[in-house]
Amino acid sequence: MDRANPKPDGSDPPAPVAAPGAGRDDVGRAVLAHLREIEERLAPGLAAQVMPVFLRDMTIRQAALADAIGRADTVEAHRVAHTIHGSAASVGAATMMRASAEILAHIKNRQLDCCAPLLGQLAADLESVRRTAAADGITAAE
Amino acid sequence: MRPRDGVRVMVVDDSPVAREVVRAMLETDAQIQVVGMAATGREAVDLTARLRPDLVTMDLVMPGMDGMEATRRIMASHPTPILFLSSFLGQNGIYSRGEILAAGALDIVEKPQQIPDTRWQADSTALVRKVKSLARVPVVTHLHGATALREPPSKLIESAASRRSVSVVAIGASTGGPRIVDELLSALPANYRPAVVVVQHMAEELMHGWLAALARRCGLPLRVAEDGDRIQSGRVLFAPPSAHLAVMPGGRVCLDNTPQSVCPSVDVTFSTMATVYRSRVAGLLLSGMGADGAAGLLAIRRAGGLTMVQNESSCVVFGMPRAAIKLEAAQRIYGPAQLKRSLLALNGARSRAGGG
Repeated sequence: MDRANPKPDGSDPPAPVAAPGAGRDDVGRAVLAHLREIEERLAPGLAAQVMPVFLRDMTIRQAALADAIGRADTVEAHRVAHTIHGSAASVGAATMMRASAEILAHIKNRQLDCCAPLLGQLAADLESVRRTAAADGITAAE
Repeated sequence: MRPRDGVRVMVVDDSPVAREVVRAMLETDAQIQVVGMAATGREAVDLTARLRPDLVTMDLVMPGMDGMEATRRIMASHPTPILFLSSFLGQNGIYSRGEILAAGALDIVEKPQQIPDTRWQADSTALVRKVKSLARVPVVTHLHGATALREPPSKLIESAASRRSVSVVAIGASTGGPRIVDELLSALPANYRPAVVVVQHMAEELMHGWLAALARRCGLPLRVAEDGDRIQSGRVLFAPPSAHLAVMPGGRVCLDNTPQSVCPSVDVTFSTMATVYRSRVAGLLLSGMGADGAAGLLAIRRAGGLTMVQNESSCVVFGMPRAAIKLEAAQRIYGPAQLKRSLLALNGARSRAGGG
């Protein structure tokens, strides 16, 4: 299995998530570099088009995921986690993909207690992306 | 609606990030214009009616009305080519591929993702190619989403089963199909009037040998279709193994080389023939695994055509006919002998064996 692209349905155990703090400042830079590379080669304006939407949507989705997990609503939690996984994949946020894939696996196994640290990591990664994007003049969509 | 100078696409996905990514991918081609984006199934239905796009890319899992229900409603009210983009497929999928196609979608592909970034170019190129080709496919009204579907089967108007004027016979088959296709075609006399179009799932390396042998037994000229061919009376055209055979107005053949899991698609051929020939087409769905052809056969039935499927006892795999029966697409369930008799009864033709 491609470790950078784990299955979002939790059918395979995802790769372990990096320890909190490890390379955290690199997450945002990696995402932006990824988009800029594609932008230069294929799709001009991609970062400016996608990143503001990503920042806004991911903030909302993460809150919704935490809420669904808190309510033990596994159906809604699975749906939202799946969307987060897809969005993370879209912008090249590999660590967020892995965290959301691991959350999906826990939801599938009804191990919701295991999700808390992963939610924390998603939030930290999002902040990293937000800071890097802001430094590049990109902010969340209104 | 046909794309003329460009292809007008509507993107449906509950994730705004996914919508932007799909839009960016599509707009790498100057001929494609994303004319609208919808976040829910209900929005998709409303916007399709208002914008009349040439094609809709549809997400499956959305809050409220999902992509399946939106597809049913669009195909019932404003038939539009629909391409499903979803990562909710495969063994853990909530709907089977057959169910999605039966709802009226033309095809399903994995939702494009950017990781690893080398896939961006491949994904966007493949997506653009598929969108441009599917946008040209004529689609017909499906009544899945309309109240008429809830009427009991007995209220469906039965077409006359035999001795009727038919211009084209459409045959779809997969596993176990070659034997019955061979038997049926070998029974047709040289003066058989309807044109015949056959979609048989078969590896390319086997197709030509099979056709060469079949040509010696069949009284009609037969050939593998090429792009731009015309469907003609008294001739048998086979879909090539690696392309979908769509029939355009005037009986012109349009081949679509986009690779996908079911190729050539019986559904594409049947549904486009239903659009063009309406009640003048007879559809036969024969032995085969899966559900390809079931939705297309339903389209033929809805258009007033004659529909038949091979019965279980004579099928090697009773998958495609079963799917058609489940959709209430089949007017007749016949064994090989009855299928032969029905084909020969069309337009009063007679088999060579019968003295024709």
